[in-house]
Amino acid sequence: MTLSFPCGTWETGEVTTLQRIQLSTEADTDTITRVVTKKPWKVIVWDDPVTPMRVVEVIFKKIFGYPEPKCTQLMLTVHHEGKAVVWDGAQDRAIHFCTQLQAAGLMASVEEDK
Amino acid sequence: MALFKKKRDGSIAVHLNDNARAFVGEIFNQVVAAENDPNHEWHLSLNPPINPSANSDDPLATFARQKEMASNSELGQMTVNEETLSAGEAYAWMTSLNLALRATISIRNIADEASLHNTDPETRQYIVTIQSLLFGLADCL
Repeated sequence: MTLSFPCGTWETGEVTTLQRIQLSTEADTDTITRVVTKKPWKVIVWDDPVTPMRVVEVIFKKIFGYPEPKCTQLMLTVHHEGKAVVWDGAQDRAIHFCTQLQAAGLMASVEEDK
Repeated sequence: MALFKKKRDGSIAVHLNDNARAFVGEIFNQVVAAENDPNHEWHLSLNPPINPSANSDDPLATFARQKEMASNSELGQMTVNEETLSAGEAYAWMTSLNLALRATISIRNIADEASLHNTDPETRQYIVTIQSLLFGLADCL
């Protein structure tokens, strides 16, 4: 990032500086965007025909601490669509949540968001 | 009478007779055995891949999962004859019973409602019994 004023007259320097700031701002935005969108990992819960819906809600609440309506909404997505992304973010946390879901008897897996 | 009832102090009363407790205790024993014995018929279904697209999972992650399952099922074994459970103990019961349910449908290839309907009566009764216990526990948590 270059914010230093170039040598020269004030008028010329002002234009140049603005351009440079604009260019460097674009470059910074680009860099920041790449960091924010860095391939998050998804935790997916898959539907099964036997686990009671209420059990799924309780497990979501216990593991993620989500409020009741969000647990219900995710449970219904799993039930109606066959699967739901219940969390996304860093790989190590996604794996941690997935192991907890599996240990609670749900069918879960992690997947890289490509 | 409900199988489980949440009390005012937050603990959960267990209204199971001796036969029901023996049934639940046997499930906890099976989950513990399946975790420790690679030849147990439930072992594979209790250890599914974490990241199916990877060649193998992180050993630390699979160890953490095994530890969590073992803790819950062993807590179930220790409290199977208790008259009341704490919320944590009830959650351990629920997850261990749910693991048994998942293992059962996995080894019987029950993947949908139709295959559940077509399974043998004994297996269906076993599934329904576990579901009843799960309904009761989940309502208290």
